Amino acid sequence: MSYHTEQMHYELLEIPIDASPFEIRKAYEELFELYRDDSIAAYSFFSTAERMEIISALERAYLTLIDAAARRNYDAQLIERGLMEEGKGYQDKSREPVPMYNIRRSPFIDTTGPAIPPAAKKADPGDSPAAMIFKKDILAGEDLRKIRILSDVSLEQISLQSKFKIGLLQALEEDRFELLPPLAYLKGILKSYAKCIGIEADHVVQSYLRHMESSKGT
Amino acid sequence: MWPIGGGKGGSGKSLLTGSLGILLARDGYRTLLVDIDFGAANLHTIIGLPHPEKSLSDFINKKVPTLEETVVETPFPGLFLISGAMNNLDIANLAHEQKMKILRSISRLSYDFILLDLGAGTSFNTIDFFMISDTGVFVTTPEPTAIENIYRLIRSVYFRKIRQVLHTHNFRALSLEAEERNPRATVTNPDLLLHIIKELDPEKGDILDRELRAFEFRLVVNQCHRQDNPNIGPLICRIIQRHLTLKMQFLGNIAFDDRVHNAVCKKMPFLDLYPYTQTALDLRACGNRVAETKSRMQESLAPARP
Repeated sequence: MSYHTEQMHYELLEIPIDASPFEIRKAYEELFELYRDDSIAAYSFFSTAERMEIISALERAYLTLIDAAARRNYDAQLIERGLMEEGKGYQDKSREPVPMYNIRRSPFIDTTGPAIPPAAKKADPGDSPAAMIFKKDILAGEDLRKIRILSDVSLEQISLQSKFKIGLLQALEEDRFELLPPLAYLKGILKSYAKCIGIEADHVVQSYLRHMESSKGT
Repeated sequence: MWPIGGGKGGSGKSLLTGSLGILLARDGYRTLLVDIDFGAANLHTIIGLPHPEKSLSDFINKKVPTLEETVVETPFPGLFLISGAMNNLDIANLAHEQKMKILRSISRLSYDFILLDLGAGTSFNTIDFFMISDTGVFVTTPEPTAIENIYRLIRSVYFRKIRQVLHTHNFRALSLEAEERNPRATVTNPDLLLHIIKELDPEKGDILDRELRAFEFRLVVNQCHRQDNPNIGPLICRIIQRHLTLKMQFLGNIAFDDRVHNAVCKKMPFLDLYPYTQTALDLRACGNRVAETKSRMQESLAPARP
């Protein structure tokens, strides 16, 4: 059966010249099913030697074609021998999947600060600028923002971690009280905010609320 | 004309032949069944005609002048039978001339479908009847023994065709030359023989090629149990196509059913006794595919509409 194994790889695998890797693999699997050791369909048709010859020819064909570089090489040889036209080979038209969800949909974008997870921060020494602000009795949104920036945390990080919208967190920092939810939810937001930055939550909550109280008065 | 053969005895040729005959007749085609399983004729029992009055031997012994006169009617309208019921006991050893006479007469009959129930094995009697037309149905079971016999049969047909075509063109000399060139070009590897013949004598190789390509074979896998791989048939067809370049179409799997035994014992057709079994469904599917080829042929031969 040696003449059978002299065929072009593509003929042997019964695939077109521009077959995709998926088709190549499928063709090889189907043919392997045909010629393997215990294939009942091939029983008595070949001697063992013939069958092994065919299997190794199939393997060679598969390994050549499934590797992009080896395939290019092989195609070039075919073109040289006049067995194949140039440009008719496989063109890889696969693309990256289109991102479906963009968390940057919100118009309020704050891109200050690198993406360091808050847990990686070292413990804050008592006299850093952030700590100084933190000690205040009343924390305005602006204060929270300063602490956040000094702690190298971005709004996106907080949004991702706490699952609150960036717009909401931005409203918090800009003292846009009318955009904030009722008290019970607001406490939760402040707690998450504080946790993400790595500062004590209770103090943040109380101070901000005091700030809100005093602002309402004006 | 549809010879139906299979390498192994008991693979179900007679059941398939009889059932196909019944199905085609019911579809409205004038169908003739011919039992040429010399020495082991069973078709009449399978289709439910246990005691036919006439048989093929009557023609061979010249009791009747033409083959048409051995045709009997069956309980199925549109289905006719030339049985082997009362054949001579030595009919399996026909002289060559008698065989040719039968071959010629059969090919002169005119029906919509002629189904020939051939015997098992690969004797010349079987093979020559198989080559009476370009179509042919091979019946196998999913066992390696049956498959081995089927391959043997197909190769014998292939080899016989080569012999036939080269008969007047010095076949012996060519095959000896081929043997010398490559010791593996023996009967067990007729495809290699073809390749070598093409090299040595491209003209005859071409003729041979054309003759072999004219074959339109079909494969039926009978007696499929639940645990058998249903893909065996298509795989066999693929191997035949890849290595012998013969057209082998897969006609279908037919499920094994213990109740076939009952039907045969009752000497009644299985299709009528158990019409709603998987086996009956499979047989009907095969029948439809066979009928399709006829309707396709009729379409291609039909005159163009004005």
